[in-house]
Formats: sequence, C-alpha cells, structure tokens
Amino acid sequence: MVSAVALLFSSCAADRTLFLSSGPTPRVEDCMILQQSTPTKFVCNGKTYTSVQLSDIRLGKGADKKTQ
Amino acid sequence: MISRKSNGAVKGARWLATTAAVASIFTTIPAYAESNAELQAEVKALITKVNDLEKKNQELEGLAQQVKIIDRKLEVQQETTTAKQTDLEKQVAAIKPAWKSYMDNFQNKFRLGMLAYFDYAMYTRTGFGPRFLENLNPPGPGNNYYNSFDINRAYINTYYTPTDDWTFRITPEIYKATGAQSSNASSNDKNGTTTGVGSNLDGSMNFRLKFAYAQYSGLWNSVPTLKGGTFTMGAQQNPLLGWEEDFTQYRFVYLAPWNYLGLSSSEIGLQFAGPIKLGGGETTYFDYAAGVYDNGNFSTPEQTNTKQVMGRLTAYPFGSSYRFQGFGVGGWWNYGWGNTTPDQSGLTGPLKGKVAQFERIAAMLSYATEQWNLLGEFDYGKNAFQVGNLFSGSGPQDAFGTPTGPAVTKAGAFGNTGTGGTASCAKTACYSVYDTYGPQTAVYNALLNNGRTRQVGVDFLGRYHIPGTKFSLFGVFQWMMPNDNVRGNDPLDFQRVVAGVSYQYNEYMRFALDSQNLLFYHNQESMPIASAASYNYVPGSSFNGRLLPDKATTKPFAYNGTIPFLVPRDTHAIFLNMELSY
Repeated sequence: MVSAVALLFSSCAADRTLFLSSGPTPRVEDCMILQQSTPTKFVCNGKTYTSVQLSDIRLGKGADKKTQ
Repeated sequence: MISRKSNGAVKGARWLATTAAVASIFTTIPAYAESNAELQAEVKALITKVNDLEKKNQELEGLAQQVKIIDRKLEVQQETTTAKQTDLEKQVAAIKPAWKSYMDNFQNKFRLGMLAYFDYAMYTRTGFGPRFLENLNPPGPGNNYYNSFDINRAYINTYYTPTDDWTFRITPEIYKATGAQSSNASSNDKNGTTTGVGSNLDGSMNFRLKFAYAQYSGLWNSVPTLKGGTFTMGAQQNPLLGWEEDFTQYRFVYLAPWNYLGLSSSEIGLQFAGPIKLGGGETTYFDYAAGVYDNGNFSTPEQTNTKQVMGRLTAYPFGSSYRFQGFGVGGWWNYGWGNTTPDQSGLTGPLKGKVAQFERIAAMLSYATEQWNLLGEFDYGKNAFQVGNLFSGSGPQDAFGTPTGPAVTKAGAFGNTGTGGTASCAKTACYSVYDTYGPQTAVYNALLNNGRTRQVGVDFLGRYHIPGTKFSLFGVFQWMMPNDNVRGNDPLDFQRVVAGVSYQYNEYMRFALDSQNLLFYHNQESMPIASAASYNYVPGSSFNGRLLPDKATTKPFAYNGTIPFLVPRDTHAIFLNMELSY
C-alpha cells in the first residue's frame, strides 16, 4: 500500500502535476473557500480571489489581483 | 478685394477734383479782376463738391468696413460649420448598434453561474434514516450493495446588480422528484370516467426555486463599524447553515448537522446580516445574521399564521482578518411553530409533533486557517426532530401510510382480544409485532411526535489540507439523541460518521471519496407497551388501517408484551462526490 502511494506521487512529471501542487501561485488547492457563489471566492495568503482570477493566474492570463 | 478697389477709386477721384479745382483757380486769375464775385462763387461750388466727395468717400469707407465685418463673420461661420461637421463625423463613426450597447451594459450588471453536485453511492449496508444528501432516497434494509449514480442537484445562479447597493438573485434548483410510482394506483391520474394515466413524477428531474431575493447592501454605508451589512428579502440562505456550509466547505459531500436533522437551508423572509468591524477597521470582531421567516420553506408551502425567528452571532475575540479566520465563538437560536394551518394548530391530540412549538439552539466553537479548520457544536432542540426528519432518506412504508407485514385476523392477537375494552382482530385486522415495521413506527411516532421532545447532540467537523498536494482530509462526527426525555435508552439515538479525502482538480471542479455512516448505536431493544403508552402510543388504536398491539389483562388472551426490534439498522455507504461550480 505504502509503495503504491509512493509510486503514485513520484512516478512521472505528469503525475506530479496531477496530484501535487505546482504552478504559479496562489494555487486554488492552497486556498480556503470563503463563499460558494458566482464566482466562488477564495482566500489565499490573506488575500481574496475569485475562482476566475485564480484560473487566470494558473493559465498565465492575468496578474496577481485581489478582489478586495 | 472689392473694398480695396473701391477705396482706390475714391482716392483717385478726390485727387482729380482737387487738381481740377486748383487748375481752374490759376486759369481764372487773369479774369479775377473781371469778376471777383464769380470766382468766389466758383470756389464755393468747388469746395462744396470737394466736401460732398469727402462725405461720399467716408460713406464708402464705412461700407468697406461693413463688408470686412461681414467677411469675417462668414469666415467664423464657415469655421464653426467645419468643426461641427468634424464632430458629427466622429460621432457617426462612434455610434454602436443599440443591441451592442445594451449587451455591454447588461454584461456588467449580470452574472450567470452554475453549481452542480453529482455522486456515485454504494450502500454496502442499507437501512432507514435521514438522507445523507438532499434528494437521495436509497431503499431500506435488505438491499445491501444498492448503488446509484445521482445528479444530486443542480443550480443555475443568476445575479443582477442594477446599482452598487442592490442585488437581485434567482437560483432555480433542478432536483430528482419523489412523488409517486406509476404502479401506485392511488397516485395515478384519471381522465374522465374510465381512462387512467400513470404518474411520471417519480424520478423525474423537477425544477423549483431555491433562492430568490432582493438584497440591499447600502444600509450601513455611513456607519463604519457596520459597513458591509445587508438587508435581504425573499428566499435566502439560512443564517446558520449558510455560514456553516461555507465554513466546512463540503456542502457537496455532506449536510451540516442541523440540515441533516431537517432544518431547511433556504428560508423565506426578511434578514439582516453582516460583519461588525469595531472602529471601522479591516478586522472583523462579530458576524451576525438574523431575521423572521415563514414556518414553511422553499420546498413546503407556508400554512401558519405565525412566523419563526432565528439569529446567529459569531464573535472573534482576537479579531478575524478574513471570513472565519481565527478563533470564533458562536451561538444560533431558532424559535417557531409547526407548519400547520391555524384551524389545526389549536386542536388537541395525542401526537402534537407537527403542530407543536419548536426551538433549536446551536453553540459553536470554531478555529479556521487557510489550511485547516475545526468546528465543535452543541445542539439543543425542542420538538425539532420528528419522524418525518428521521425518515427523510427512506423509511418504512408504515411511516407513509401503507402497512407492512402480514395482517393478523384471528381474535386475541397481541392484546386485541375483543374483551375488556379491547378491539378484536377478527373484526379489524391487527398488526403483528414481527415481520413488520408498523408497531415500531407507531412507537417512533410516540417518541418523536409527542410535542414534548428534547434533542441533545454534539458535532465535530473539520478539514485539513495535505501540504504540497491537491488533497484534503475531512470528516464529520455527529451524535444526536432525538428525544432526551425518553427514560432509559432511546432506540433512536444515533451517530453519523463521515470521513474522506477530497481532490481539488482546478478552480471549478472538486472530487471527494468518502464513507458515510449512520449508526443507531444501542443494542437491540424492546419497549413495554405501557412505557410506549406514556409517550402517547395508543394501544389497540388503528394505524394505517390496522390495530396496534394492546395491553390486555384478560385471560386467555392476556398480552403484557412489548414492541420488539425498535433499534433501526445501521446504514453504511461509500460515496464518490463531484462538485462543478462556475
């Protein structure tokens, strides 16, 4: 079981992206949901972001902007 | 140019006249002696002519000046016309179609989103009990390994903000209906005197309004401490559950404790809510929501002439830099009446569950960071958990009007002797106490719907994000005693345990693999009819058209027995949940 989990997390780069946190910050998996709404609001490192903003950051579309 | 030419001609004429005058003087000197008077007359005439010419010259100069002014005016007008034409051309070039202007404005004020919960559930052990999630109604005992893919529910979120202070929200919910099976003759429809139509309601995806409200957020703009507060009218989030669902973050996996017990997540009424930031700073020290609402809710019509009130206040003694952050102490209180019409609410009866006044209280301690949170809650209730709530997931048919098990028709069965004031099973069919849920359901009604119940419970909910991964662990433990007033062990005392791991795929999608369990943790037990009768179980009364067991003392059919098998079976399930939020 342990070896299977270890294999899961260490096999290849694609798996790392799939299961481990990576990419530009802030990342949604490191954030806390503040309010499930349209769009959903998260707090990351004390700043508030919408799901759209976090998506833009991950995709390199926008700057690191907080909503409030 | 014309004026200049005129001016030159005038000057030339003047000089010509002067020269002629002087020449005539000199040519007439010799004749001066002849007639001085004639000369003087001629000189006068010449002077007069010169003066006339000078006058005409002045007039011509004046006319030339006027021509100049007119020329300048014409130039100015031409310049103005040219400028206007340029502006007009610019405006024409900038003109957009009316629909595009409307859409640009609409886009800035309108938000459209969706939220959908899907799951696959495998019930390794089936039983009766409250629903694990809304609109899930698995079969009861004897259906182990029942499994299903469920579109648990889907919402279309629409927000319209015509001004900064006003928000209008409409959120329809698409959910799986449970109404009638087509094989159930009583629920099918009739056309005319001989034609029947099967019901297509059961299992269909229905459409209803979950949230619909108008919200004003400018109420406290001039009060820094209360700024951000809102006033909301309509079908809106429950003051407790809205806060708790956002705190726990796993609404797509499990129901919050009071929601699991039957409290609606959407209330129809008026509500004030908002943060309290002492001194108008950025730190929140209190968070509140309170209002007055229908005793019904978004899925049940209002029937009462009273209203329920509820309010929540959460204090953050050390301050909270964002919602939920840090240590919080909270309380929530709910007071209302059973949702029945006024002409029924005043009636007296043995079981007042549906018409009784109810009360709910939650006392909470919470701590939240971005990476983990924990919530501890103590629950107290009065007439707040009834048989309808107990069987919101699934329950025995006896709880919904249909008797189960074989009917007993021989005289003297289970205390119904037909003598000593008891009825006879020979006249009216009786319930057995075995191979049925009838007498047991009657006891549940007596224990939970008697109008004097008290609920006590404790809950723990938490989440922990595994650092460096997209996974989080989460769990719920809920312990509830549905009627703390029952002497001895209440067979309906239960615990709910949910534990799982979630995976954040991206900003819009989450998955969770979890185990959900309902445990009626007491050992199997029976209840003497005499004891059940003290909770308004009526021995020998008719229930679903059958007689309930009676307590008979007359031989040879004396029955001083009990109602057995009162502890319901446990339910165990494995869920794979999915949340799609955009």
